[in-house]
Amino acid sequence: MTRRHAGWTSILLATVLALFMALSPVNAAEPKSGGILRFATIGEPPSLDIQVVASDLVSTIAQHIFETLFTFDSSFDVVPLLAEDYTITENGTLYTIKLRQGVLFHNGKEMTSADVVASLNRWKDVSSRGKIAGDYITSITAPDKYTVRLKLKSPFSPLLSFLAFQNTAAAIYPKEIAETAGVNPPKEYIGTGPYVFKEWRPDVYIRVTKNPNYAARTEAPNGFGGNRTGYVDEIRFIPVPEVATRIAGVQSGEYDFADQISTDQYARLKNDKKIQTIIVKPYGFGELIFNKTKGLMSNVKMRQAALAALDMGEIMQAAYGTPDFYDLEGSFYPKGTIWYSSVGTSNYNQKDIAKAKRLMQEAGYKGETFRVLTSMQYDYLYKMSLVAADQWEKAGFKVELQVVDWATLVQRRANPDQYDVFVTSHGFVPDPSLITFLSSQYAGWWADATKESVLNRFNSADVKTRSGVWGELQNLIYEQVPAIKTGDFFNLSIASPKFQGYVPSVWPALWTVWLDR
Amino acid sequence: MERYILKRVLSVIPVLLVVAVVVFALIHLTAGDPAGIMLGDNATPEDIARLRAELGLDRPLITQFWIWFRNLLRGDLGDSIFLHRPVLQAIIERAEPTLMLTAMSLLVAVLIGVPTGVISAVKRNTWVDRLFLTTGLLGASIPSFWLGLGLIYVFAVNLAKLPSAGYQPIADGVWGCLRYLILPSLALGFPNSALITRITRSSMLDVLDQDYVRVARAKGLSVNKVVLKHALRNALVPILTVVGLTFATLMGGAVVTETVFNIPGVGRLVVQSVTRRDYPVIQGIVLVIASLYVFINLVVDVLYTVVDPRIKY
Repeated sequence: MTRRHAGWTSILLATVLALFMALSPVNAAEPKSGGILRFATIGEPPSLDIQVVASDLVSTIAQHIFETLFTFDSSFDVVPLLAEDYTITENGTLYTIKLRQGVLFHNGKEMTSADVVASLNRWKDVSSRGKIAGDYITSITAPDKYTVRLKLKSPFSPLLSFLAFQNTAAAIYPKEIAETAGVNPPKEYIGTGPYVFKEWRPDVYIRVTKNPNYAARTEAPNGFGGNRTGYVDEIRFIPVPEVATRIAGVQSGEYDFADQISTDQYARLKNDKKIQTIIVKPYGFGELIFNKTKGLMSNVKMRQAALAALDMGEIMQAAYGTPDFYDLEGSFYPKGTIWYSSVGTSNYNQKDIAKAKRLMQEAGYKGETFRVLTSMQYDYLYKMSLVAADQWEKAGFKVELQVVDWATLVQRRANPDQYDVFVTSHGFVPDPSLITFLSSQYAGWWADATKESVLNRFNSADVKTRSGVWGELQNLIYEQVPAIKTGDFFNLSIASPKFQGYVPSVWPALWTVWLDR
Repeated sequence: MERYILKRVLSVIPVLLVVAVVVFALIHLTAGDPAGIMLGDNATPEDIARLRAELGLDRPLITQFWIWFRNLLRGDLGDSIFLHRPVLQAIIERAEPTLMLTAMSLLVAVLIGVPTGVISAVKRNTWVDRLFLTTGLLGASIPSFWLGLGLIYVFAVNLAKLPSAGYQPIADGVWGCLRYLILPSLALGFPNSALITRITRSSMLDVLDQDYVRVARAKGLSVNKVVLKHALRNALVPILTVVGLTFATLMGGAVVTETVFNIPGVGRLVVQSVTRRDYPVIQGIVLVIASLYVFINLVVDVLYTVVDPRIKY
């Protein structure tokens, strides 16, 4: 099988163009260069090691500094970024990637295949997603200065998505940094991206400045792909954990942009002329993840009963308030994406207490305590938990709500003795293979032979047939109920009126933004 | 006096020892794991176990305590798990905003509390007295975060006269630094002025009833002179005590105020460190604040001898 990027059909290009136009920037006016953009972020990242740290905040900041071989366009198709071209041969087990020439790191050194080999080797050793891909990769070699070869022991069709994803990203670091960093964060943040890391004043800001030597792609900006040359001279990522302070900061002009604003503030903020409100779709979905290893919910009928009892409308309304910020969708992917599928979704939002009771009886439920692990640290998760617990109680479950802070939840969910279900959310990911609970390693531990078999087929399927196999996998999720999707939710961002050109995204990319001063 | 100070300094040692043990035990007995927080949501148990081992968190608690305590005796508070830098450095980097905020808030509290307390005493049981006491009670009842948000809404968002959040180091300009501190120090200082008002009032009432005050008035001295020169000076010892205590309270209150006003100080660091379970930073900050508390008490005790020469140690 040979697939060349250059050979993509004109239909695909037309579709991408149409989707790109649909996802056009928030404001379309003549871009202006210069200025300092102040982005109030939700907190301080532990490091900017985008290969290792799975936080969205790290991805958001570090994607301005580091780049990957591939990325996603506005329709979530994989497109080359640092790669020039690629071929997949030998039944999907040999990826030959041609690199772009003349791409400079921020230290002035040219990026070559040696840097890519060292970076990908580190990524497959230290990154949680890199390790999944690493299980398939047998060797990463550099036949010449601008070519990299990845040899796989068996086909792994989501590999390009893995290489493109900016969370625990396969970012390219200079060879000497990738080799010396090991599992620790690099001592220097040197990438090839449109912005150069300049300064990190803890709790004050992370400052990046426009890369004067940025080797931009020639294609027009499209999603995360195409030309990434930035407009503003400098971006300051300012940690502002308190949401009220983020709002007041944008209203008073202290910040230009703020992310993750409480959706219950929307009605007030949308009429405020000092700011613009931005709704980010798709953003994520709520999850109730069962402990399948031990205890009450290791019985599939009990999990099915828990699913049958839930009224997702009540849950999502409690968590997100207005329907502007949620969608009762059973498919794990929204309509319009290649992964949308209605298979299995008849089991979503059943609101069927009688069915739940019947399943509980079949499971032999005798009133054992159903431990729901949740956190108040994220208000929407807590509200989601309260309503779900109430509905489960109505169905006859003896619910014990364990409310802890997030750090404790993260620790407890790793112990199968301590809970039956934990409440969390999952950010939108461009490829289903990136969904965390599909891994048997992830808390809740969905280790089932049928699932492994379908997942293996999904991971080795031809690109054209993968969406069909994903439908099977989604169906299995609704049958075995390893986790419950409560619904899609969206994010509210706010910006000052001068903030222009932004394309809403889970990981705000600010190279498209200019300040209308 | 030197002997007394030396004795007080030495008495700090067992206090800090107890603080060290209690803080270490409390933090480590609380659930939560810094490794899980650092690696993010999709980290595997193997990743978390590896990082735990690397941070030494897999060792027995007593071993962890001994390593930390041994380093502490050498003046080393350890390294922050999250910030990848020495704890002492992290505290020093954030000390200026907290000290400036605390000092400014204390100034606000004293400038409001002492004059209103004196006037209340002089005008006892009049409408002025009741007005000040009621206002003080109201101030003490308002949570500083609520007052902070209200001040931001009025002065930063609507009037656009002052910044809503952040901090400018004093080295970059005194006025710039003060502009950032006006709203937070009002939010923190005003609620704390109530106690100073009440103590000043009651201390002044005691003194104003003394014979020497009556004599001074009978000699023909003006009310202002009697009140400010004779009475206030003698009423200062309890006021000084409460001002010292307020300074320590303000250090604690800075935790909330720094969060609301996004001031990169020690208070915000401690909140974040608790969320992240950054054990060495929490331990370090608590120890430093406990030392500071003891030091402030010592300074207040020494100041008693300055304002009242009858007091001797």
